[in-house]
Amino acid sequence: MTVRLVECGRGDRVRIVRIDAGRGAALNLMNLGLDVGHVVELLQRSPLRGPLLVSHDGTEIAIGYHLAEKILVEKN
Amino acid sequence: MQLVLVGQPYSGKSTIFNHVVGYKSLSTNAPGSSVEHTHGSAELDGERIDVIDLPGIYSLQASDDAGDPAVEHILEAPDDTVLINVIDASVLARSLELTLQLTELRRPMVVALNMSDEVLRKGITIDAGRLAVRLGVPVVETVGRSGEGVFDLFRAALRAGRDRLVPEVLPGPAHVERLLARLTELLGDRPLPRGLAPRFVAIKLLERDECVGRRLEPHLSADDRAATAARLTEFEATTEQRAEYVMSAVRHNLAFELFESVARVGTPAGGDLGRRLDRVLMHPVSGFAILVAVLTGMFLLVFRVGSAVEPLFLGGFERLELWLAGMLPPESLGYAVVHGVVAGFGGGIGIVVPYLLPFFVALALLEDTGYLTRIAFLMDNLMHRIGLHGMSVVPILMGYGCSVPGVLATRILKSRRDRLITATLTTLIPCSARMTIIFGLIGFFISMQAAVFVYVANLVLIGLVGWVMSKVMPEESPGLIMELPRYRVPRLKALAQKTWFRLKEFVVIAWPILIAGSVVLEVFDHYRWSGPLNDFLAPYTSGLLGFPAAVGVTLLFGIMRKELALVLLFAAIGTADVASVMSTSQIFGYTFFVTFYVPCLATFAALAKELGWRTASSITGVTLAIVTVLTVGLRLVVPLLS
Repeated sequence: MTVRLVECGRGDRVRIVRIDAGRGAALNLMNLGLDVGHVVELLQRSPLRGPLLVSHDGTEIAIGYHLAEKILVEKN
Repeated sequence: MQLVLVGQPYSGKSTIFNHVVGYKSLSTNAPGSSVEHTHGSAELDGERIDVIDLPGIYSLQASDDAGDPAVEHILEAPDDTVLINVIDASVLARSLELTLQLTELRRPMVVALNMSDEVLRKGITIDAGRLAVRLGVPVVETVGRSGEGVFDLFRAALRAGRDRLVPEVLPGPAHVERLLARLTELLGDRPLPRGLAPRFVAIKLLERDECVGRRLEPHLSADDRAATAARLTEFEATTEQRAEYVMSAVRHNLAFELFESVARVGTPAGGDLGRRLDRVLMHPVSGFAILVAVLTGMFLLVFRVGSAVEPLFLGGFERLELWLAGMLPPESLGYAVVHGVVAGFGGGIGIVVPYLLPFFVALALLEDTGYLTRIAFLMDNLMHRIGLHGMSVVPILMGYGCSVPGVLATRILKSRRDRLITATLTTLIPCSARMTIIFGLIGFFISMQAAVFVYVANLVLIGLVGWVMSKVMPEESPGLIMELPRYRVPRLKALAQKTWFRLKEFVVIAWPILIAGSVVLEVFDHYRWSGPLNDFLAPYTSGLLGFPAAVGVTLLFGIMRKELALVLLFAAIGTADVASVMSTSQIFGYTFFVTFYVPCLATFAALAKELGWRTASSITGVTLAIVTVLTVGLRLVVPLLS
């Protein structure tokens, strides 16, 4: 089932299927290993459309809400 | 020979840099137009080496058209440069993606497998020798925090520079290599910008990199550009993906293949404590509760320490002043000058030791444990409402201690826009000196509630100014993406170095200004110029703002040191019983005005250092205008309330 990253809950492990962000944001995500096909775990969400915290390959990465809206993921 | 430390954020470059350059050299922080790099020099085996620590970068691929200053620095580096690629070995696969890009530069290079102790704990074994063979350059295992292997690393770098050890290039899949060959062929024997390897340029053409593209402009004709575009379009027709994404994926696969050939992943020795901590510390509810507790604790501690220690120093300087009065005739100009120097010197000590030192230590603790970035995460949402990011919270917090380190701390922000808005807001935060005025005047002569009201009103004002500024200068960045560092136990030496680095900035910038300001004040007093000055300022101070004309001089010298305004006010109106001379609305307006009208001279100098004289003057002008309007507003409103 494909959903937006912001629709996932704490503790979900998801696979990135598409990134609809612009070139700059997409490259920044890729640099941190957040690329199509990769699995990330959603560690924390913040209230009122605050940033999300995901973990990938041993690093923790904060992603702004509006960017996370553009990341499409597949729940396992 | 110039050694440049390049690596991803949190790879430990700066720790290695400090270990080598450390206290021994006069390393200066040279802020560039947008982001600083640190330059230092040291002696190694009798040879003098220049070392540059660049800000962390994830990639040489520019994610925006403006380009990254660290990347620019690498591209512009002179021919005798040796790159020291510092890698956080515990995230080797990802780090190698930058390494592979650096190999394309075809410059002498060494690799530091840093934090090798952490790697063992994670259960990973890395064959450094094999990595060295695959990359064709020396690979040295280091532990930056303890200094293990660091000097070996620099020796290897010197050798790499002397023997010109240039890394091997790992080829990508055939279709990409074919495109790169065609682009290189197209470049032919055209002269390229200094120091850039043809293959590197071909990759940058493929990636449509604006930063390198600008450099190439004079070297390529319109036909060349059309031919490049045609080849990219042709390539993308077969891959059905933008070429830069293809290149990124190629590099990712190469890095992963390289990682698998040199590393073996076993079972980690310990559990993941950091993630368990973050479940609590980053939680929407418990995270905020802990944040409030940590910050309140930090402020209370700093102010407790400060207010307990300050009288000790001030007492000492008062005795020194008395002694001076016995040595020099009190009416002489000489006495005025010497007294000014002593007062300014004492004022500096009175700020540095009691308030700044504990503040910097507390801040360095928050920073080195990794909690500061978590604060930024937690505050991100709130800061966005005033057009800023979570990281802006750091300078603003510091501003409650002293505006000077607050303004200097805006350096941690990437864009000039964010630094400008944050610095402006930071100057509006009531620092500890201004706190004494607020509580000494409003708190004492009106009520404590009124004093607290000033703080609340101040936060509203900051929110409004931030909101307006963010509307005038809209956000351009693509949204928050920030790696959080791992939690660490801070090292005493690193804390001491960090604290010293920041203290030095205060000592060098602010202190001389405090001293000079005090001297000017004394000389002014000596010649009794206050009367004419008050008359000159009267149309503004008493006409517009409604203060007694005698306070004019206090406003001018409050600029030197804010807390002086209080002492000078007593002298100017001839009594410490302010309420007998000024009305409630005057006291309120005066305090409000003095607190916020302009940054003190030392803060102005810090603003000028970070943002330039013109911007510092504009910020001062803007705050003066805002506060004038508000004070006039108060003058009209307060009598209606009381």
